[in-house]
Amino acid sequence: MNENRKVLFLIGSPKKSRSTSESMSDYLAETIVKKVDWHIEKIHILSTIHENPDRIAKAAIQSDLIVLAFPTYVDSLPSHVIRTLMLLETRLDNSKERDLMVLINCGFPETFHNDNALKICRFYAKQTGLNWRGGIAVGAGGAIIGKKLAELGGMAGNLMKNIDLLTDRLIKDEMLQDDGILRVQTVPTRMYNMAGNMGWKKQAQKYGVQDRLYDKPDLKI
Amino acid sequence: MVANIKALILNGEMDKGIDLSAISQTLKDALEDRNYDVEEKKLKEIEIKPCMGCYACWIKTPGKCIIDDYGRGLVSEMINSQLIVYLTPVVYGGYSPELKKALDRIIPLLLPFFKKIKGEVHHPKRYDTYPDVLVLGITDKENYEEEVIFNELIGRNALNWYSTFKGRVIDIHNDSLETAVVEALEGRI
Repeated sequence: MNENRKVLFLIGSPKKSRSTSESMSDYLAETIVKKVDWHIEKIHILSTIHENPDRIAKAAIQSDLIVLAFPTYVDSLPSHVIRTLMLLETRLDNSKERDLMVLINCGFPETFHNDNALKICRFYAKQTGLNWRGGIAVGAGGAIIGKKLAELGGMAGNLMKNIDLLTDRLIKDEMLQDDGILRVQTVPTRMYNMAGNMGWKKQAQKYGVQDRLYDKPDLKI
Repeated sequence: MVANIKALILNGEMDKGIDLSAISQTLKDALEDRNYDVEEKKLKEIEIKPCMGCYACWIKTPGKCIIDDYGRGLVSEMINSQLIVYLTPVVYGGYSPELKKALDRIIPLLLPFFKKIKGEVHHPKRYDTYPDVLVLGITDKENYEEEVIFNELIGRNALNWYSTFKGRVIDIHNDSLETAVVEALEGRI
């Protein structure tokens, strides 16, 4: 077991609070500190990357493990997350070994929508000399809605089990075959689609625009 | 008189790294030769705030982003073009953050709902038709794995955006820019 490791969570959701990325990160961090005496630091990328990029770089330099948590945007990483990876590439030295793990979620029910983002992260690790530690790819991430996983009950049960497994692997310094990614869909596709579609209409109703959901405001003919 | 067709180049050049001006000029010339009205946006010179994931563009102001910057206007320019060109350095197998900051803001082009299409869940179309998209990823170091990831990204984008996406990686050391651009365009014009 690795003693006293420093773990840096980089939260890539643009949401300041109540993001699925942060919910997963917090559960992983809590699971780690219950089992080992590792030091945890958490930074929200978006509020830091432009104003204080040094803070991200310094924390990453000190870390042994970087956990990058973000939502898949348009089939890949949000722009500020790519910018962060570029910053780290220029600032991280090879004076010690560092690991990279990812917690990715997407708003579609199927987890494969995260695959391209995963491949980019894995390629990044390889190119920059970080040890790829895999992670978790979540489908139907919208169902988490930024709540603590433990409060979500059965729906997050499988996700929590997989994060527990990930923690054990980390602590034992084990690595799965393939890409090391555990893929979890929080809600079955049909149920997610139905609840989601009703939810969009309900939210539009709140703003009085339920009849305008299909508007084409930018069409110039 | 027949109106020219409109092409919008989204230039994702970064402050540091590969200079895209030569290929951008080659591209503009080739498009103008084919009667396109070409407009280029150098995205690094334009402020586009990040998408906040608030979904207001779906449930509060349908089809319009609530952030008042070029990200909102971009959606209008895109849907009223016939061809969009993503011109970008290849960054870890994906797009540059300059291009991506723009693309992160285009979800108002789709509807919020979930619909199974050919066995996969996607957001349905908001508009009846979408522009063709040509993606040119520029690199100065050939890397097969990176190229595969980049081409897969183009493929996934095509599925999610109901557009005819085509594209390729161009290695500035080994490919002729002119030939590469013409070859890329010929599949489309």
